[in-house]
Amino acid sequence: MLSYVIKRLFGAIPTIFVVVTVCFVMLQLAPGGPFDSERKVSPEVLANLQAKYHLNEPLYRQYGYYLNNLLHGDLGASFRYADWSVNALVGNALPYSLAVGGTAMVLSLVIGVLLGVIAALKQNSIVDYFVMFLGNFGNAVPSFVIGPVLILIFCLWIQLLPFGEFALTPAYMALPVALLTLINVATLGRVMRGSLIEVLHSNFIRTARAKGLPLRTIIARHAMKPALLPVVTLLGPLAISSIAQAVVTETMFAIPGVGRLLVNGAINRDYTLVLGLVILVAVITVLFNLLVDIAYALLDPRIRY
Amino acid sequence: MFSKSKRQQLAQNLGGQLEAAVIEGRSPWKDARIRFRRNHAAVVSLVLLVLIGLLVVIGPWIVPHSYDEADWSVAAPLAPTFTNWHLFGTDDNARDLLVRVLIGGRISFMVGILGTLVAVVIGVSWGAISGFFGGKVDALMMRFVDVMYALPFMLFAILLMTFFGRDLVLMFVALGAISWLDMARIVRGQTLSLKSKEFVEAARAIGVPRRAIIFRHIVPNLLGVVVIYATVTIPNVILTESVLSFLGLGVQEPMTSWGVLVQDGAQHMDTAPWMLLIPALFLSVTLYCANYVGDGLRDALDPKDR
Repeated sequence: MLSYVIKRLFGAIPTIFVVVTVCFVMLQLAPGGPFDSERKVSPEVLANLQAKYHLNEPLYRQYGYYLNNLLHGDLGASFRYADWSVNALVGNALPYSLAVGGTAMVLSLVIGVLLGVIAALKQNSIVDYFVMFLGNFGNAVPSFVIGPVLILIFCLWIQLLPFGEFALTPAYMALPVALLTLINVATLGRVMRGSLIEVLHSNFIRTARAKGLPLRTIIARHAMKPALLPVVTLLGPLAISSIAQAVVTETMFAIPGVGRLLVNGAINRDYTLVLGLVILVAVITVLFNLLVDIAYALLDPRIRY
Repeated sequence: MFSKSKRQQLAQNLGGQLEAAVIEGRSPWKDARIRFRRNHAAVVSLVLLVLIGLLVVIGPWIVPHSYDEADWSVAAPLAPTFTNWHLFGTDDNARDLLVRVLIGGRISFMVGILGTLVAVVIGVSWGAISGFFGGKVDALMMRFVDVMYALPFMLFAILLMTFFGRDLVLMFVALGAISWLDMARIVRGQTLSLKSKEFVEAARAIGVPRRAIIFRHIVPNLLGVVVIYATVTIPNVILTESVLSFLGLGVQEPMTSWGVLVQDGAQHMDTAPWMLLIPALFLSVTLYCANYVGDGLRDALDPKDR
């Protein structure tokens, strides 16, 4: 097991390395140097600045400094916001993203698994049709269409919820969390339904039935664990899509999180900020995929490494 | 053994039997057509999609307004009405919404199709080369695809739009450049099975250069698979385009796309909800139908499903 973890960890390093290298190359390609401003600086000052930030050294040395900074967790300074490091900007934004995204993730896991189980046990019932409809709907109608419509209904027409700013209170978090949950439940519910139906048709369930075990015990003790495996596999892609969704929802609901930071950075052409965020998200995604793989190996006794 | 006339008769009989067999048999394409027609949801979606497509292409010439001209003879924003033929009303800048929705649809369709073309070119070349050469080249190229897979591609879209500006041409190149991964994987798999076929061996035996084998003998045989996955890719590219435009990173004013219109509508939905609901409806119906058609085509043409 430990050797598997180590092997996967080494497998993840090239991925991050590729991303970092691509980011460095893009930074070099970006038009304009960091000190090209309208205010002319004297050549001596410019030379000093360039020496301070190692800009006068050959490219491979700069690449070395870049890697070194990243290894120390330093994402550099923001191009646009003077006196702000990318780390500080991210540090301010991250709690909002984690609160909204985390709540939505937990909620959608609970609701998705629950709905999927009910749909699988009572096929062709209302819950079953609801899960299937949600699956189709969530796949086709983009979140940035559902979101404004939700705002229109809940904030403007029936005026149940506040809108326009954001704070970490239930009233403000309700709609973004509901939207993210809806999208995730659409996928989770369908996968859970499918996999539980498949498991319930397998031989060991028939044996359990033949032994005379009550249905409740069969599901809780025998069927749930193998049925949950596809859901675990899904967590990786789901987390990746959640990051993309966060970009949209945070823009829509004015949440000052990482996704909004990224969009603003892109609009303002804040190269270092965007690249820093890309590296950060890439590292998080790779680590998350790693965790999911390990969890999968732990859960499935058929897989031995 | 047989007389000459007897032989001729036998040959004719055999020919007749063969002909009958040919008539009874169905080509894979006909097979697929029959299966597709049986899928009612896909057929309805296809009809709707064609209608929207025609509307979007022809509509702007018929509507008596231009997408960037304001009609200040009526108060803006105007709810859907027959006054001055503003069937969908006008936006906050007094521009006719009907023509803007149609023009926006044109852009969305165009970006979707051109972006998919870029994805097809990259994906097919990458997959065919990787599959054909095999070994270390294959491992390295597919490892790269794995790496790309593991990352949120919306991020790459934003990254590319940051660095390469918000030009329309660059936009579909960027969208194509992030949508080729599935295509590359599928093409590689097909190439692996194709390259051991006799005709490839024959080509190799008579000394056809490797590049010509790939692009003249293998790639044409991939056409079916490529067409199916291209139809699945188009709605995804349209969706990505509208998300980027919604975020303000895609198509720029006064040019418009469905994403821009939804974004615009979301800002004015308290006073003019039609500005949000109409483009949202068009976008959703198009994506919904395109997904159904893509799935239907895949089910109809997938040989595994026989």
